[in-house]
Amino acid sequence: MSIRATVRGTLGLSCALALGCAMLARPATAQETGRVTGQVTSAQNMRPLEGAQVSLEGTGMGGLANSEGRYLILNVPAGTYTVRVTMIGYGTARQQVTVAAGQVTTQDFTLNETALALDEIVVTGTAAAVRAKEVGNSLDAITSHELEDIPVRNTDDILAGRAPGVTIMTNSGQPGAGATVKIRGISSISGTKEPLIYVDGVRIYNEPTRAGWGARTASTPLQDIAADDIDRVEVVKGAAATTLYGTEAAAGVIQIFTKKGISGAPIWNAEISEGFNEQASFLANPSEDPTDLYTKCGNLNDLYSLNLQASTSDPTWGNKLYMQDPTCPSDGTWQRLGPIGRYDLSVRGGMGDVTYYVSGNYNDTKGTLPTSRSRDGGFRTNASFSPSDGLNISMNTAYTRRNTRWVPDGNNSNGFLLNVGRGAQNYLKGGKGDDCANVPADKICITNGYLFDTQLYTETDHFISGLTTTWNPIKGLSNRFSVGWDYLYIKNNTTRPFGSLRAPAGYFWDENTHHTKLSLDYAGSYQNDFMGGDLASTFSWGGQIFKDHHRWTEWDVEDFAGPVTPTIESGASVTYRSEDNVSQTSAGFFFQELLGYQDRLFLTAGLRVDGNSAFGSNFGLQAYPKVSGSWVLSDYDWFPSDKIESFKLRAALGESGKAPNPFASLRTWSGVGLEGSPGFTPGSPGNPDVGPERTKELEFGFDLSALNGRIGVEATHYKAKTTKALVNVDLPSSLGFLQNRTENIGALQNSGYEFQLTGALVRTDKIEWRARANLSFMKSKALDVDGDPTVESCIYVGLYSNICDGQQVPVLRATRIMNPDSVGNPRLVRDTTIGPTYPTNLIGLGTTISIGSSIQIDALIEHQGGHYLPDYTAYQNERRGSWHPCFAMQTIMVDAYKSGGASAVTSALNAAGVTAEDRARCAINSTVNAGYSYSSYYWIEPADFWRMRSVSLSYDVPKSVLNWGRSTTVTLAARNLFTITDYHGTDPEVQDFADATGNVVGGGEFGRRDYYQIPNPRTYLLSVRISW
Amino acid sequence: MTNQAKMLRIVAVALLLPLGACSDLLQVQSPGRISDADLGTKDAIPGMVTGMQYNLSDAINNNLELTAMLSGELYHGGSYNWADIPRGVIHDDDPYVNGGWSQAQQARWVAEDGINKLKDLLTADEFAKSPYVARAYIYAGYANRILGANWCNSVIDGGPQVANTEHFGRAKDEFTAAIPIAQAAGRTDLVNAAYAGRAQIEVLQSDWGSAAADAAQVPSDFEFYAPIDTEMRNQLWYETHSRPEYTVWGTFLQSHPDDPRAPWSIEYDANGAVAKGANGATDMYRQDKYDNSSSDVALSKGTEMLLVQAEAALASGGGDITAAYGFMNQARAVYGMAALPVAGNLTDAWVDLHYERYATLWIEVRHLEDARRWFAATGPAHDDALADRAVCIPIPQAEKLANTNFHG
Repeated sequence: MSIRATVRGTLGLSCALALGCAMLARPATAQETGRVTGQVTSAQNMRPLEGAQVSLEGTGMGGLANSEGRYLILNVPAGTYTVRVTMIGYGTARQQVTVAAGQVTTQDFTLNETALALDEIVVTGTAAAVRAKEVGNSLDAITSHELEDIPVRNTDDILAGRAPGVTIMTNSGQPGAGATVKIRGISSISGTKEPLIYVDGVRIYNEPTRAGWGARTASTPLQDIAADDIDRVEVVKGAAATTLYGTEAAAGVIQIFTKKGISGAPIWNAEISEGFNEQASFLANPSEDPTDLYTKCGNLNDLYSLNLQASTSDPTWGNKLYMQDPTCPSDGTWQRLGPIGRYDLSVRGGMGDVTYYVSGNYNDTKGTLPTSRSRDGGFRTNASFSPSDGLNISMNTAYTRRNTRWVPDGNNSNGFLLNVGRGAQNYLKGGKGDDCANVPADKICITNGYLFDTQLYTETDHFISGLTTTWNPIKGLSNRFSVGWDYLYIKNNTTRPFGSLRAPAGYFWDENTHHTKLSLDYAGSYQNDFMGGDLASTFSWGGQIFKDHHRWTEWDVEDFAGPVTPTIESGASVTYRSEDNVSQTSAGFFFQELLGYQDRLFLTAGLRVDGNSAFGSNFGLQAYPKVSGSWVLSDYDWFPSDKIESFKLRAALGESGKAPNPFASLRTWSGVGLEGSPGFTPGSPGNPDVGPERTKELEFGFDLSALNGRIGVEATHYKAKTTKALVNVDLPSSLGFLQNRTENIGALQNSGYEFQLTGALVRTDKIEWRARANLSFMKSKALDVDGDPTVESCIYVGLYSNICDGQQVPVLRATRIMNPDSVGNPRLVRDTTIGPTYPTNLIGLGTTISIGSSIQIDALIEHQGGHYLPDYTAYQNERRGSWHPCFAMQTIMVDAYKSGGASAVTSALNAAGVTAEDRARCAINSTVNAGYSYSSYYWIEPADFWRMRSVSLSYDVPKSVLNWGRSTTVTLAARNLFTITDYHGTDPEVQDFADATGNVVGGGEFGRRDYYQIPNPRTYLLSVRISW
Repeated sequence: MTNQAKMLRIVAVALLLPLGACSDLLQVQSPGRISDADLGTKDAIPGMVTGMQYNLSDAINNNLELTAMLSGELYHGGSYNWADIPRGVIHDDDPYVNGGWSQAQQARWVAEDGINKLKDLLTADEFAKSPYVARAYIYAGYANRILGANWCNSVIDGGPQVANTEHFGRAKDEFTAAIPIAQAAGRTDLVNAAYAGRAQIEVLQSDWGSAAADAAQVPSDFEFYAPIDTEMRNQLWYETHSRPEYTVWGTFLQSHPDDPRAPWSIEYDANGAVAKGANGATDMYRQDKYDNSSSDVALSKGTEMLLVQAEAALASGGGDITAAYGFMNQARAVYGMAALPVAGNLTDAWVDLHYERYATLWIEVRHLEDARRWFAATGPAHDDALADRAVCIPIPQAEKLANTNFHG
């Protein structure tokens, strides 16, 4: 079935459901029931609180407040009720009301912001929705209220700097590129390490998907959830919290909840944003290079490389090689402002028992280089229907289409920065025809404009649909059954047209990937009270089945007869083709008991049991236990609640797992073709004993809210140990199978501290100034990487990254210069640890200033540190005499060599000011700098940085200025305004991706490097949001 | 019914439903790959043998660069990290050492394992005349030749270290087994390939009588290739025609520009200057023997068999120079080349023979074995080309680390 047919079918189903819901809706029985209505507003700024959850305690009846903060509960039998209002980030409010038959009861609420809302309802990591006070592990939830004035595009942007323990590394500045997401560091030696992703209870594909070979970057499914559709994001961190998600959840879980319909008249929201991307510099530290890595290509005096690749006996050796590029844009730079347009429209409302939220969006983002552009758009339909008391049916359907044209990037001989950045030493000299006719003979003619002949496209269709039925047949018993379907199609192609400079006969590469995930999820719970209400019990049970199907085809053809549109068929030579077709099933069930004593001491115990297709035939089911507790001390009379109104101690101990790759257990052969004949070649050696690795985690901490909600502290310490860790073991090649065999032989541990501090520094009638800080300190240690704890071993995981016994996971190992500042030859220590590949310290500093009810200023700065990044950009340029920061030292050495006569080498090395590090990093010749020259080892640099993630100023236009609709907000925002770092490459966050899972070829799953990646641009946006 | 009883019934049903279906739900399902069992039928034999051929082609393709670098047939002018290999210094943990070893070992294992499978699948009569069986033996023999001729020592099936000559014995047995089966199958091409392969092994064993006898069975125009298609892509073609990585500049052949057996040309850039390799410094003299992505690589040739007979003539007894030049000039005639004048002494004759083999077998994963045995030879057969250079490839560190026989 094609994606379009699928979309049509599901749309039809959605419409049919909505129509059926409307037809089945219960007629109002006004004679026996009444209505409860009112408005929920913020006590701080009197803004309406859209999305506040309003419920009648003990009835299961309730609803959400709309954008005006108004709520409406229909068909309430006459009687007396307690209305409870909760919202994340606010304290809970309760009020008793009496409902009379045929009457409308009005009750308004004002909620106070609080750092800790123990009564708020959370879903993440639990069998059923529970109150935050009952949960024994740390919780991170980010709501739409925190985001509505902030320039976020997707979940990556939302999480960056806002959730302790969550590392977001943006990887590339190209529009359409996705980020790397790690939760509490790395808990595995091999296998997938991406967090699980759920959208409205439907598990979706969670791996990055490469954007073709030539773009050297990747997209992620998280990009396909429109930021404007997101109501809140919850992050479940660590095995103690993810136990009930079972095998595959050890890397954490990200739960995304999209906006729901709200009873009442339709409320429309429209947002239009216009802005631009600007590449302030292609270097993290631009001051040392006036050409900005040769992206300034006009008639500059500095547009030269040093001729270091000639022989030292050549009189031109060391001279300046001037260059001219006749294809350079007329304004003298390859950079431009990249226009951005974002358009969102949504409507939410409800009638009777049916509520709906429908939205559509379109985004068009151009990068700062010619041809760079990403467009995406889609729609979402969330419908909910309650045909009878205790029964609710909801359907969430979303479709996103993205079309990205990439600029060739990274370690790619057709890459933009690789060629432009190498100055005179690039691959595009001479051009075509008379391109170089007007270039003076003493200049090298480079023609980088032909780089943009390469057409790199990624098209994705992502369809997520879920149908959830909630049935509460009797008091205390709830059942939830969900069917989810996630379909992601990715089409990548690369074209170098017939007649292109570097492929005159043409080249075409095409890759098609289909991911399908079908999920069936049932969970039930039964609540009951004992001991006169002192002891509350919630028993939960459930099961899930996930069926994954992955199909992938890849073709590579070349040699076209003429300037035709390249297709697989029109190429004369098929140079590569491959296909993969994999299905994997996992299933499991769980039980959990939650006991609450006097509503302030809670104990939870649970067990998850899993099976998985990937487990070996000699391997059975896996059981993951958990136990957690929380103790709300602030509910005791003796507690000084006048100063600290909420205080909860919590602890959790639990296990989770990670499944091996689908075919790790089976010995398989691969099909090959040779001159048209099919054959078999060894594939995976298989291990029938392989099972999942297990991570056991203990976490404990406290949540505190003091001074009337003005100060909040959440502190957590965790310690996790992964055993039976999956390790890909090399087999002797002489056994015939060249792929690794996966074995459960490793062990590692993770620990860390997480703090979330919030404070209302100023709170007056006119101004409120809030500040927040997220701090994470992560430490890991490989305990055993090869199954032999008596031997200290390392496993190479790519790009100088290793996992070594006793060290952080992973670390960069290379040759280190031990005497960088001394005069003399570098003293080298080989194969030594440089430092961690991934950040160990994360700091997010945010502040929000509200002036009156109209103006809000928000800013977020993030720090990532403690890690290192190989700077191949500098390394590759230096050895080609094209690295400006080395020019001064190289010139000194060259001049000294030339005037040194018989002792030329000594003269060059001992020239004034030349240190050991200069000799190595700025080597001029492999003979002069014999023994240590030209190694990327010396360019592994600390990658610590502080980055202004976002800053925004929003203004709610008063009715006195614009008396139309419900509200109008104008926002001026920027991202990545500045970065402070000592790193010398293009950007300390970038990563050179390539293969099908988004990892560097030959780089395993861990290696990172900067290899001529396009850095993150600054983004400026002006937005107008209107509600009516 | 009370609420409690109602609840209990619902819970019971909710639990029993998934548990009742558990046997199906938790079934391991992994479709889409070819299992060992799938190869256990006669229908799989053609694919199995094509797989052996594929692995052999892959092995020779993956050893083209390594052996050319180490033996000095080509020089490094590119950007890849070949460490000191182009200077003839090689270590077991150098780049590319493991790749060539792995593919060659896989080719050997696949063919030898496949022969055992064929024994199980075919009756004795079928086995004795099956062209698939003959091919399997021949592929196994050539894979063993690659390993024995180029590596210093070896390993069989994850076992302990053995001498490289172990492969010669295996190869000879396999070629010997192939000959009657190929004859019974009526496949002259395979008969010739087996004789030629066995002759190559006998040269490596210095069994000159047998080598000459087997070589004489092979017609001079015979050629047996490891096929390479555009998908596999001839690696030397790619690295010299698509990328400027390796050059003839600085090699022995630089002074022999017009030999049709070893064609190469000077590359020029747009400005008319000699093009540089990817390292930006070394002149790019491009090999043209493999001039497209699907250029096949010869495993044995009739002309080589003539040179085997020539070398046997020189090596046997006091050395029959006239006979040797007869064979050499027969081989040259195949390429349309003028006859060499007969040398007046053995030393000069050996120099000519060395060059004839060098040019005939250039960049075919053959020169290292020649240079190795000539370096070890005494008398006029001796050649110093490998002085101060490695004469063979060590067992890679990866094999040693993974193989418990090397570290207990």
